[in-house]
Amino acid sequence: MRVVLGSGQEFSLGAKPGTLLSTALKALADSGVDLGFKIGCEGGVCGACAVRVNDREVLACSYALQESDRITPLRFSEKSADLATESGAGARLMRANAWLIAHAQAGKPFEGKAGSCILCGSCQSACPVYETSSDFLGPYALSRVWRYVADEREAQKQPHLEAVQQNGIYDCTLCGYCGPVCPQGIDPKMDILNLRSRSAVVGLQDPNAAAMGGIDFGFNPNQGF
Amino acid sequence: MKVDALIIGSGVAGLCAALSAQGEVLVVSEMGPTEVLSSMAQGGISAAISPEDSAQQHAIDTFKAGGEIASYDRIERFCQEAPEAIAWLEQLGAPFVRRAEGALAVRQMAGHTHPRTLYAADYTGLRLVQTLYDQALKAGVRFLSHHTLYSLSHHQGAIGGAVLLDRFAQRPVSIAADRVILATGGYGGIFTPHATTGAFGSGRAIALAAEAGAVLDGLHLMQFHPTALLSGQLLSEALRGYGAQLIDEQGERFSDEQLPRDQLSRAIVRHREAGHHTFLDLRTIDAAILEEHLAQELLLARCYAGVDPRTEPVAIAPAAHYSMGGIQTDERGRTAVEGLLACGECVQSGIHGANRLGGNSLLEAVIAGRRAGAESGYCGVAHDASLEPAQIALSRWAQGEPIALGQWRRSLGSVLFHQAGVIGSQARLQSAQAALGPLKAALKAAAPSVGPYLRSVSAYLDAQAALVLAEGVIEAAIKAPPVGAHYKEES
Ligand SMILES: Cc1cc2nc3c(=O)[nH]c(=O)nc-3n(C[C@H](O)[C@H](O)[C@H](O)COP(=O)(O)OP(=O)(O)OC[C@H]3O[C@@H](n4cnc5c(N)ncnc54)[C@H](O)[C@@H]3O)c2cc1C
Ligand code: SF4
Ligand code: SF4
Repeated sequence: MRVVLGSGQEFSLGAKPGTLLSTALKALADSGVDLGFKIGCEGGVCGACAVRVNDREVLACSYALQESDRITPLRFSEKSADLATESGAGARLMRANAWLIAHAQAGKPFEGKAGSCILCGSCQSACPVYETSSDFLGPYALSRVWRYVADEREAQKQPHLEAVQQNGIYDCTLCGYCGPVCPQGIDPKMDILNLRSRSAVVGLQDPNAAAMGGIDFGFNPNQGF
Repeated sequence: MKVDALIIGSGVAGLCAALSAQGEVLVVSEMGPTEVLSSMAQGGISAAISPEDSAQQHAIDTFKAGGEIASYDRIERFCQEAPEAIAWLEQLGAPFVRRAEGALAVRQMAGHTHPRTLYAADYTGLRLVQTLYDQALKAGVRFLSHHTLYSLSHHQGAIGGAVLLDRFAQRPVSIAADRVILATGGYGGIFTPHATTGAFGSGRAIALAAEAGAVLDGLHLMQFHPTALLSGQLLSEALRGYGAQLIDEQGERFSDEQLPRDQLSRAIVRHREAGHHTFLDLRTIDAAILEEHLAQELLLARCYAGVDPRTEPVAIAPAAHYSMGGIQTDERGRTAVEGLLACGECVQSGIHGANRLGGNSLLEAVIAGRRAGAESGYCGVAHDASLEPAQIALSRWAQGEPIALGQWRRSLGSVLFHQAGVIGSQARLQSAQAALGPLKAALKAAAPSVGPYLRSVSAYLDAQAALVLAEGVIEAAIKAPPVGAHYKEES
């Protein structure tokens, strides 16, 4: 079977079609090809091995290879070496305040899918906003903020919402490309929509719309609430 | 760069240490910060939190399961600390499942006399890792990811930092630190492909700690999981709980599925050594239950064994799962070398004895991680070690003859698994020792290539460490009397 890797190098793999990509990569390395890639748990839960196959994001440890597949690294990464990438999640999560700020003692934890994100970076690679803006907080960071806003134990929702106004929820075009590539079945677009409506409820509005002289009610709807 | 605490490892133990350490903290990881083995834990984390349970009972269960060779007093203090550790995780936002009335839910795991294992769906490990990572970012902990440990920096008999290899930039960096905390995970991976640890677990830092003067203890104490796919992925114990049966190629049952892990592993290995193939038959489980509660297992079997367990049995065999042995530490995580602490699966701290109970390893990662992080007084002499040895090695390797390290590792793993694994005997162990000779010679004659992401270099350093640990495992197994997971037949 022949596959094309990275910047166009073509490799012949001893493997049969249907072989897992992670297995084939390890075999290729064993045959003396020094290719950069990451393999972790080989069970789909550590997020290390995400790559693109024929322009679609997959985890190498759960993708079965087909003849002539073209394998490339994730896009919009901070660092890369062949197929090994670093998405830059840390800095994005920091900017988004994506953590529990203050525990309210009572309440139920968030049980939705966003809580099972493995930071594989697939959604970021699939997101077209990054073609024009690297400042976008992006799908996994916004999804994680929703995970904390929707957690009943979070006593401080407002700072979360404030942190995602700039370069955040309004920069998303709602194209929906991020959801289908998520190995954990998360749909960041829905989480972003939820953050938008929660923001509207507390009177936060799209800063871009406001800058363009957008909706102005002439009073602060939060006054006295 | 100089920091107060240099933590090598960003699994549950390393992140807990980082959240408890004073001053400037830097956390190093081989790949991304959350790309760790801890993410793989599904079962949960154990603690006596229900009113009808007690820390004493948890301690007695732990002590007994471990073959009564560990320190009961240490275990008791450990189990007493467990509920507070859970409360701390809850405060940080860990999403443990709750019962309808709001109390934390607990599940029953084998060997525990009470249900006391907390969980977060089937994703306890990854949800803990992600929650702790979020909190570490919040606390301002700094991360140095995609850096692999090359050496520990000694100075006047103490540790004062480490030299790391930057995998993207392909160059060494030196970090000076008052203390270094190893949280690098276990060495079950030396049994690969007979291991449930994925690509993790070569135990490199354990070998480096020994070189620096730390004591390694109980290396032969390796826990095997009875039902792993032949490619290593773990099939949960829950399947047998729901009625899955062990059968051979004739469709005959050959053992009692409810036996403890070590006994069942031996029964399976014996049957395989008698020339049989061994399978787990899930067709005895109601399809609705399979799809609702065991979806992850269905996926693993489809993906890695290429079979649909609803229509055909899945080939399984035991595999190395958890290393009870490791770097010897006291209860505060201190090793024998000043300035060097350790926590999590890389240590042997007198808790698990010869057999670890379910949910006790995540618990150890949390408790020991917090204790080691808080131990600010155990310092060496911080200094920037010379980069020269690493630079020389890199340029020497660039000219060497590359070796097929994957094949080499599989050979090592097979020797260990078949001769020093589930069933040992003096004769088997001696033949294992003899088999290491040629493997050692092959590795000595080889060199990695210095290429993208230092993948080959990292694999080579792992292979060297795996060899050191394999020797340690076999030596310890030859000397030690059989107990718990360490089983020896008369030869
Ligand atoms: C499939 C599976 C299921 C499990 N289920 C459970 C369970 O349900 N309950 C339970 O209690 N336990 C379970 N365990 C065991 C438990 O997950 C581990 O013991 C625990 O997570 C170990 O955590 P740790 O922080 O010590 O190490 P790890 O999570 O292994 O983290 C090690 C860290 O060290 C870094 N590191 C390692 N070597 C180097 C190096 N040379 N250079 C730089 N960095 C390095 C890694 O990058 C990583 O960040 C399971 C284990 C497996 C394999
Ligand atoms: S829906 Fe939004 S976040 Fe998702 S890919 Fe499209 S623009 Fe990006
Ligand atoms: S949301 Fe999904 S695709 Fe995006 S990083 Fe998390 S797990 Fe990966």
